[in-house]
Amino acid sequence: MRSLLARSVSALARPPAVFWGMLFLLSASVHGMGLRAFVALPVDANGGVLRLAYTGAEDYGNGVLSAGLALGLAPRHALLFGLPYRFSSSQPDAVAPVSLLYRYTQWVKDSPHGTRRLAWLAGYSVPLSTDQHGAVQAGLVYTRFYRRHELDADILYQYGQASRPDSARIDISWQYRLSPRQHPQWGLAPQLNTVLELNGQWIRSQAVNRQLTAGLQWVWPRWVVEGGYGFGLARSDADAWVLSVRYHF
Amino acid sequence: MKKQLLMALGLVVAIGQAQAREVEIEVYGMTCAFCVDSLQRKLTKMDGIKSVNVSLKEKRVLLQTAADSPSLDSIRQTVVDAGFTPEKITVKDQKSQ
Repeated sequence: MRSLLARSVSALARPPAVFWGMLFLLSASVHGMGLRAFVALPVDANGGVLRLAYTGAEDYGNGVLSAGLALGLAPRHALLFGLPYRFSSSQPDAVAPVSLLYRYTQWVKDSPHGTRRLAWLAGYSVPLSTDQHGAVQAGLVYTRFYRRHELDADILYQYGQASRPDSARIDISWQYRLSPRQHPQWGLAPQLNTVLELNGQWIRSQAVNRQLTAGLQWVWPRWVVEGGYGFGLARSDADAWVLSVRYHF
Repeated sequence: MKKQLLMALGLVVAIGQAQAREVEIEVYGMTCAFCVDSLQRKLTKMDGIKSVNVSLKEKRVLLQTAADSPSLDSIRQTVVDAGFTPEKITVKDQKSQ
């Protein structure tokens, strides 16, 4: 990843597609309780979640600002929209393909102390300019919540069209509620979670990356403010940070 | 005159009580503040609901409603629409009876 990023940014003769492809795959998912992972928890019918997230590759002054929207259609059906916008120190800023995903929750097992849910993801990455190409997207997301712990795991495959290479991402996210230790009898208290994630990204015949991301989430009452830092596991300069704010309506 | 006023006041209170009902729902699947918030908003919008209290700790929802609305079926469906499982619905106190 070190040489990949360096080559992408400094050598303009080399197409920067891999660098940006990786950064887009690293950027926060449209709708998740983790920093990057998807989640299978419900979006209530006629409700939604709006999210703004910035993922930065610190060394190079480049980043991706993602605007996301999750809309609940019915108890088990949700639509996820994602619009990434690239900021670059060496190239013109640009809008990346829009991600449209439909999420269907296939399996639900609720209990007094939590829930287990499995959902399918399917959709399309829609190109917005002539030099972009689309991709068919398909994946799975699993969420297990128990008392103060939440575990999310997802895999999303993007089947690239024309010259766009296939790519995939896989995330495993563990969130632990630090505060409050116990919820109040009635009503709510502000909530603080720690987040630990393992994120993997792959682009066919070009690059593989793995990151360990650690962060914090503050939840109150319809807002989430969160931030984290991802440490490259393959190379130390594959680090990236993410800041995000979400609003549930 | 004083006696008549007291009787009228008593009648008003009695009518008010006759329209009150307390419903308790045991809800499975709630995990965080957003679950509480979305469920609370959905239930509050229903006709006949006077107050909604959610306990994330005990996975319980306590509703003060009019005597005969909303129906228990529509309450159950609202919980399902919010994405949760209404495990048990109990009418705790029907003051009109």
